[in-house]
Amino acid sequence: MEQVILVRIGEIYLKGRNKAYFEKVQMENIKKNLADIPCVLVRNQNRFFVEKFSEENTDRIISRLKNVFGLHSISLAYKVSTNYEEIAKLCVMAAPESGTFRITVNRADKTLDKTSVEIAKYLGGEVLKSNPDLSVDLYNPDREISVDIRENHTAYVFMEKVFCRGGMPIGSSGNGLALLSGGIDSPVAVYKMAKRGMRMYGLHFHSFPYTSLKAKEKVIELAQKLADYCGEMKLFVVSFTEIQQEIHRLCPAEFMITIMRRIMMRIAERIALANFCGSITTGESLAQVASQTQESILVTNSVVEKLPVFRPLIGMDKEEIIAVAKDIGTFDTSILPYEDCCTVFLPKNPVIKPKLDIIEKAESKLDVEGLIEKALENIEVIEIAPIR
Amino acid sequence: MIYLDNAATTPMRKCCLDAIETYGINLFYNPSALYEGGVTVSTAISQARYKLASLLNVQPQTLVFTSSGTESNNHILQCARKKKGGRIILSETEHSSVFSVSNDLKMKGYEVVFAPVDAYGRVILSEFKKLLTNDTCLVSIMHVNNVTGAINPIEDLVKTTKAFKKDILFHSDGVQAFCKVPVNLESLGVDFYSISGHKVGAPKGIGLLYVKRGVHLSPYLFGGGQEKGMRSSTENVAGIVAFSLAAQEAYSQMSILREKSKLFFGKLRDILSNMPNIQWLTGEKSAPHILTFAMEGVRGEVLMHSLEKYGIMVGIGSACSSNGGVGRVAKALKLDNTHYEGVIRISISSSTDEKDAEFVGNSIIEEYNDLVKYKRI
Repeated sequence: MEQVILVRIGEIYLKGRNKAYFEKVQMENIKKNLADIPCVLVRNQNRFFVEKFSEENTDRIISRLKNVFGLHSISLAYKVSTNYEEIAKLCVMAAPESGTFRITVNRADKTLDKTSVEIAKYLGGEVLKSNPDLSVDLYNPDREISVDIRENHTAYVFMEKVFCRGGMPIGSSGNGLALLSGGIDSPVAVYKMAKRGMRMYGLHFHSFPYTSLKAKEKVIELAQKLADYCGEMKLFVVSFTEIQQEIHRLCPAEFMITIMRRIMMRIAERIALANFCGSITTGESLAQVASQTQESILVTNSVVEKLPVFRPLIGMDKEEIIAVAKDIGTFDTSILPYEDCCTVFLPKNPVIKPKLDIIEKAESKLDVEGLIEKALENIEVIEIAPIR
Repeated sequence: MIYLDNAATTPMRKCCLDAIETYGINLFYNPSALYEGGVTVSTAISQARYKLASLLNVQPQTLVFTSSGTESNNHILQCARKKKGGRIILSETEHSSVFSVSNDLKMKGYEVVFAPVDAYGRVILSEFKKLLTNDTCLVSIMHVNNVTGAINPIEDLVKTTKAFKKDILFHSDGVQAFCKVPVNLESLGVDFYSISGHKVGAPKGIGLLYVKRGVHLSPYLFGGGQEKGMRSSTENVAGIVAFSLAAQEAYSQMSILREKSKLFFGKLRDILSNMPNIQWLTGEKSAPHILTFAMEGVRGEVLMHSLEKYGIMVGIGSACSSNGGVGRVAKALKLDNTHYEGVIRISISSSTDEKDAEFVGNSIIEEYNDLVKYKRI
């Protein structure tokens, strides 16, 4: 009898001819997440098994796997050879001391002489014999004992199913660059895209000395937290101070945010293309602030020429976004009160429904190209890896 | 690097290193142990207490070692004997380790009132007097204001309090006063006094609490009964010994600090007086290590960051409140809207080089002139 961890895959299950590709990526992701823990990963049809690990690492492995995108659920299981008596012994061990139980059998090995229901009946009988205080309840048992009999003369007995986060394995949907402000929304946007299999890169703009170093530290902390789910992340940090000063000097105050965001999107596109990212992700949610109206988004979006811009939070309420932020552990960091570069030069009355031609005219006073090139010259790259 | 944030913390003095090595590695024993090693370190603690007591002019047994000034302040506010629902008087500009506890005390039914301060952060005695009631059970007023450096008239405040009602307990947070201005606890007459180690060149994680003989105080931490039951937990022997050595050194350098203060701040005041509408927040009766001012139209934090490129490090009020509470003190000092966010605190030590004053002053003026162009709309 050996203790193993049974890992079930999620949506990949539905894939057709390209399923092998996704499974390979998934397997590599699991391996990477468990790289520092001695264990063996085995693939068997639609499942993975983590085997040959020492007991003290059980909880660590489970908590890591819970956050690996692409997985459906995991269970701690006992592995035995397919022998009814051996399996029955394990079921007796797994049964509760009192109350109700059910045994569910899944029989992949069709060469066996009994059906799943017959095996379940036999095992249930053995459990009842060992403890007459127990009773069977098929619909609402206190404990469900699952028995999985595989083709390779191996059976697994497990109880609890721990659900994972679902989604697609990281890397299976290519690379994407996300704008990370340090607020509540952008980390959630990163999480959502990573969950769909995208390997994420982050881009942060700071306005030192107007914003503090703590604001940058906060973004690094957020990226660090996200790395638990997204894996390694490259974070690009670009100084936006001079650009803001120039906009402040030459453009009307109410257009500050709109023009700023247009330049940010241009910089984002260039960094994305240079790093083989196929998209830009932002944390915009419709109507949340002045820069997130349809009209504002049209004006900021229009400068992106070659890439799609994903806005995974566009239809979410703030409360819904906060719930995800709390779930993934970024909320407490996001609400630290350090000013970000968007609020530094915030005008009293930013334009809510900007007109493209008027903005373009106002922007024409700036040497946009020169400013962008200068900003890109001093780009800082921070490599973030999950802390193990 | 020109470090001018010594009121936030100071570098550890070299004299502490020996103590840390000795009591961390060689004499690592638990001071409560009965074998020889234990007794040796227990003696070292007694000697450290003795040294600190002599600097404060009190009996050694009145001193309790804690982990920090914050712990000492919390201990008093939470554990000093207080009449249920009674009045507690604090100054408007108390450090957050006193101010935050007062919010908790309000929730527990105490009435907390605040003694107003003048434009330099000094408690106004006549206004303080008006707050004393028969219900008053505890007063906590900082000895030296951590933002402006103002020295509060603690002796007079204690006399006024005790004359009104003898059993009102008086605590003073002396974190910014110890080794900066003369502190004679006997003559100040306070019941409790808090001190922090790292402000005088000791390592972080060590503090002191004075409890006047005969004044009752309940323990804050319970356990093995260390510090005569007043503060359980295995003593930070290395920290305690290092603290006593650092304090002795800092104490011996107080006259040097005063001299540096005259030269450095004198020059700085001269240069900065050219800044339009500068508002000085440090008055005449203040500790020698702090000079604070408010600028018009530029946020303190922005100027602070700008100075980093010259290697100059200054403070913006209190480091302990830079996580959101700066406005409280600015409000108490009645700063107008244009100066409200523009507070800069410069704090020196006895090793500050007075020759740097000119460079620092000119850098501030240069950066200010540049930044003020981008005033918020």
